[in-house]
Amino acid sequence: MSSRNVILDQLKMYSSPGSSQRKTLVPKARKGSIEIFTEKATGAGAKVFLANEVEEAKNQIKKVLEELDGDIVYSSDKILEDLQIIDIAKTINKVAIEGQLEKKLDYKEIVFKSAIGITSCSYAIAETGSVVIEHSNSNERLISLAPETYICILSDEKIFENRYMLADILEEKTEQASAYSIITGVSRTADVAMQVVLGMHGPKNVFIIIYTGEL
Amino acid sequence: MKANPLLFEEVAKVEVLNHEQSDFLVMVKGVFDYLCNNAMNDYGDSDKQDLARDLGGDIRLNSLGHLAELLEKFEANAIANGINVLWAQDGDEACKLVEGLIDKHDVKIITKGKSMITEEIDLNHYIESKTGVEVHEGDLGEFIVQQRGTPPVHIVAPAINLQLGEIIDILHESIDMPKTEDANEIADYVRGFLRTRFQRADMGITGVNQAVASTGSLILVENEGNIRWSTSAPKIHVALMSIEKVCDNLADAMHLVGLLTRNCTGQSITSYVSILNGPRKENEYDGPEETYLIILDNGRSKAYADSELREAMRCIRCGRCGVKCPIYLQIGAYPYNNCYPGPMGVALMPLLLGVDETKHLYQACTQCGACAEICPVQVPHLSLNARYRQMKASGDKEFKASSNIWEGLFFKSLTTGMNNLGLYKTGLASMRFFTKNSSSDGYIKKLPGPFSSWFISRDLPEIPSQSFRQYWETEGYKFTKEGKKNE
Repeated sequence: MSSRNVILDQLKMYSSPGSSQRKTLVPKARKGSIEIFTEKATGAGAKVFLANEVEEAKNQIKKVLEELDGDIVYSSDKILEDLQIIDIAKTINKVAIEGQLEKKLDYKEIVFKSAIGITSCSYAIAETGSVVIEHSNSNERLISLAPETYICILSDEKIFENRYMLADILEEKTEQASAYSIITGVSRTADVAMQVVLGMHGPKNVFIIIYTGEL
Repeated sequence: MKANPLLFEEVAKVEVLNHEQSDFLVMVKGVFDYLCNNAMNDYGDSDKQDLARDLGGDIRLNSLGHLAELLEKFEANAIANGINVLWAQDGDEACKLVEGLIDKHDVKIITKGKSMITEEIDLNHYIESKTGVEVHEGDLGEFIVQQRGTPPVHIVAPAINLQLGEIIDILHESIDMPKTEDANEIADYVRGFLRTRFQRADMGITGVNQAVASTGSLILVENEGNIRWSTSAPKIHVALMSIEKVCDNLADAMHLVGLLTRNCTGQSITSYVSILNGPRKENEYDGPEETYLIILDNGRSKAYADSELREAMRCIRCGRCGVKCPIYLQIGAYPYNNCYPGPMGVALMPLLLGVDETKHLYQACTQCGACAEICPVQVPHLSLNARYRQMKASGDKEFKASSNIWEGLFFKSLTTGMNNLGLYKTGLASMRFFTKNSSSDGYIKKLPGPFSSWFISRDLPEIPSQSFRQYWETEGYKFTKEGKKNE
């Protein structure tokens, strides 16, 4: 008998009767507060900026990029296309490369040598100040992880109150993404004599630019 | 992984005198208490915090009650997501499965996310001895203790017992780190060293914090980014989880993650929580090409048959019980000699290794109950410890508890004697005679034969020359059947 069947048969002999399905009471998804999100994300080490219209968002991105050294890699999603990241970079003499335009073999090399990664995000959680990246062919995993600086572009419409609401939204999806990353501030460690160090294996700087309204 | 009761005593005797360590651990307790209590305040007042713990306990109880059903549902959804699901009855089978995958995919470099289950089956040692493949722990604390060649001292903070100077020496000798006392510079050097391994690794190995039956997802929690690297950059991701790590739905999983991080590091959420649904899809540029999940039993299904013992599997490995335990705070992790130091190992290891082999764990417990009181998912530590002691006293073939004939005989005689006044009086007189020469300063300090070990660290008040009843009668009182006294 296979190990699978040996284990499951043993468990089945002593299972409780009835269905395993738990009805978890999750309140209907409600929009979360920008103020709470900002407070929590800032507390976790991110720098948060609010832009009330498209031009302000572009200016904010430009301002952040001006302070940073190195090349940019960005995900191929529509929001970043609408924000014309490549044009913003040109105005300040920076190289910006769209991850998906590179050949698959070169993609990792580009990401590993880029200093700045920019993506949009699908959801955000106000209670923890987290952004949630839904990974796909237009939003890769390493762009928000490998570069020294990560910039996340977030619509205020995507902010929900708490993690249970996020769980409910993801549960309802007919097709799951290959992965979701819930990112809260800057990676950290306290493994050296309990001293907190920000930016262990992930980006050392995290910027979140929240825009309101349509792009 | 082998427990060793003799080693426990030997190591504990040394560690209890390591005042630098115990002072440090007491300081750590203060820090963890402050951070974790603060984080639990997110739920509201103490009643609401209790409700959050109750819900955590309910979720775990539901998972355990329907383990087979949830595992089958999870497996079906995980396979639909493209995950290769494998099963292992014990650590050896799990290690061999990993070895097979290393061969199949021609793996040369492995990076790891911090994972207790791989410590439980000693996977690093197996891989290095059987395949010669490089294995790099990705978590900074795990990396330091890997270079030192010692096991992690705490589930969350593996190198927390090491002073700054020791860490500098270890990293200087092992990876040529320039000597510096700046924690940022130390972390930066290791970041650079591991970055090149993360980028070149063919395989990433991680544990799993929760598996979600309704979506077939794996949830992994971390602060440093080593898990995200190990699950994003290499072409192969291998995750290992024990059978009890499954829950019904994402909302339940999110609640457990909230309890875990608040009681583990005192954070509402950690820097990264990954919800992994399988390998990269077509046209995706990163993420693993293949994802494997090994579901490990390692003795748990046997314990599952006993409704009282299965409660040990409620544990979500936050480690909060450790920093509450007065024994752990005095002796640290090394005497426990297993990957789950402190009360969480005391609850689990007798089921995995047997009651005899782990007797030092539950016998060292004072039953103060601090661990059970703080546990966010209500692991019944006290009743489990009492049960292991009872199994040890009366014997239990299933869980490798050999009874002590002399101890059994002693307690049987005691029971008979206590139920018969004549025998009781005779027994007491014999004991008085037997212990007469062993008493000094009002205490019995040693006894010969099978009783000798009991007196190594304890004294017993000496048996008075007459009982209270005898004394009472010499004072002119008499007992009647009704218990009243007459002059």
